[in-house]
Amino acid sequence: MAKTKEEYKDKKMMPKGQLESVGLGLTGACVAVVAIVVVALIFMVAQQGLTTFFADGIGFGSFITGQNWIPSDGRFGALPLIVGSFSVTLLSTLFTLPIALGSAIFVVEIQPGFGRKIFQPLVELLVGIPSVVYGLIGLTVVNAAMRSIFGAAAGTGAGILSGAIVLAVMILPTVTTLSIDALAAVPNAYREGSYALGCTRWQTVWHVVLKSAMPSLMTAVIMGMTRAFGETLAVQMVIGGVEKSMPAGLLDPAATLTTALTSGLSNATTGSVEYHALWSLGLILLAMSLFFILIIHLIGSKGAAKHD
Amino acid sequence: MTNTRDIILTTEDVTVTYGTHEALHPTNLTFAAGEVTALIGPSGCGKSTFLRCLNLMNREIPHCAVGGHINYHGHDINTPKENLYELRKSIGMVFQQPTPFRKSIRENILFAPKRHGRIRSKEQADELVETSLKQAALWDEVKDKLDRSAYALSGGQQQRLCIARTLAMKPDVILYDEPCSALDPLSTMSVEETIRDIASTGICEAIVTHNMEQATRVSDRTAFFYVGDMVETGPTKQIFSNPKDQKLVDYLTGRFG
Ligand SMILES: Nc1ncnc2c1ncn2[C@@H]1O[C@H](COP(=O)(O)OP(=O)(O)OP(=O)(O)O)[C@@H](O)[C@H]1O
Ligand SMILES: [Mg+2]
Repeated sequence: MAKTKEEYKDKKMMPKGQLESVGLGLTGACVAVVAIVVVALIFMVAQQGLTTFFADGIGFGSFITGQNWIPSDGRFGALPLIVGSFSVTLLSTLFTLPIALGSAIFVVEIQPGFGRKIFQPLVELLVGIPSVVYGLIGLTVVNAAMRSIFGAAAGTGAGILSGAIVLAVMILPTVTTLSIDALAAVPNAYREGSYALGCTRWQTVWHVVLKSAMPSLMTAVIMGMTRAFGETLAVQMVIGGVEKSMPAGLLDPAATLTTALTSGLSNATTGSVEYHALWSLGLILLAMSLFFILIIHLIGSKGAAKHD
Repeated sequence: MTNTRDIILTTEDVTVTYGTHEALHPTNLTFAAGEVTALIGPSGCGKSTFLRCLNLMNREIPHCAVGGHINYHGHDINTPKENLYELRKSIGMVFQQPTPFRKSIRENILFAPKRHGRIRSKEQADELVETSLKQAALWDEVKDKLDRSAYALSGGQQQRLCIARTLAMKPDVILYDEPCSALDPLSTMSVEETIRDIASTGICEAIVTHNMEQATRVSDRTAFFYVGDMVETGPTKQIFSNPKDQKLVDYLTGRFG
């Protein structure tokens, strides 16, 4: 039976319809705030970043393919920075992946007791270490190691390889924990199904467990790559960072999109061409991270579709 | 009907202990070629535990110990030096939940034969896929989509794919642990038919089931388990029409379980 207004007053309740519209309003407002922040952020970076091409008269093509980044000379070729970013990202992923996967297999398939109770908490501890600490360790340990291994060829020890190694250590915990979760999520029934066909433990891990966990493993890798691609501080400390032309080898000092952006910002005056060019670097970074996230979503939806 | 058949598997005083808890007390049973044996009994009485002894699947559980003798073609397999992986090539197992691998239908069938180096040519592979799927009564439904993901099949089809996958290894024993409990009545019927057809080719089968009608439909012999004991066994007709043990009588009349 419908209640009268008096009854609602007695119980200090709002009428149901009103309550629902308040809830709708509140949650809707939250969504609106998030949406506005995201859109405003993308709009601002795009607007400033595109000024370089539309107002300052630098061609997009020459910006992307130019081989020298010397703002003081008015030379804005971002290719060395793009190459720097991609090489440290790909190399660090390459170093990290086998180790992360190997330890995940050990933890989930071989020694769950030790792995779950001791190894995983230890690894998770590493996730929280600030990147400046990684940079510091890299500066003293990795760069010195480069010098003693490669001698004069390594120069000061700063270079792409050092950057990649430090990044590899940095993303290792993230990729490892996500890989452990990915393998642990594979139902035991799949392993038993494979054992029941006379397959060995190794055949089962390789052909059944890894295969079933593939989408989540890919996500783990891309999460690691995203972190490596966006990392600034630790890389800047070990990669050299003053070089503005194309690196010739892995031992060459180099700059990445992020390091060039931070180191350039202190010199650039607001509104100058250099200032806009730095925003363009930011735009490239933004586009790349959107691209990584897009891939994660694609993998996710593909995985879901396959499980139907 | 049993006397003339070849005995494939016998268990002699087989026991199973999880840690310190003896989940299965000494059990003696015999399985013959071309026969289906149903294992029935209330939940938790040790049916799965017993079934998983027969292909040494219990070895995968660290705290589980199996005692007694399990004679397979006359030799005891319950010894530490028995090669589990060799053994399981000829004693297949189908589980309660269908567990197709994240691969195409074809690759699901060929998975184990490939791992064991049994595939010599494309023709042989195609033939193996076809005969296995036909034996599992799935061929007509999937012959046009062999390269599609096995996940795209219905639950009943996935279960028959798991049976086909087992058959592709050409085992002489197949163990089923409640293979139809996740299936609808129609799929259940086709799986039951498949089990009967497989038995008629001389393969020895054992099936755990909670469904009494299913036991009467598919099995030649039945063994009744109760709290870790194998209480009564005999031809299925006799077990259901003329049960002797009071616990079995109670179970069949639905007084517990
Ligand atoms: N992995 C295990 N670790 C410890 N105890 C177990 C394990 N598996 C089974 N048990 C115990 O062994 C006993 C028998 O279990 P089992 O799974 O064989 O019963 P079941 O007859 O198959 O029951 P259901 O009909 O419910 O499948 C139970 O008491 C159970 O708790
Ligand atoms: Mg069971």
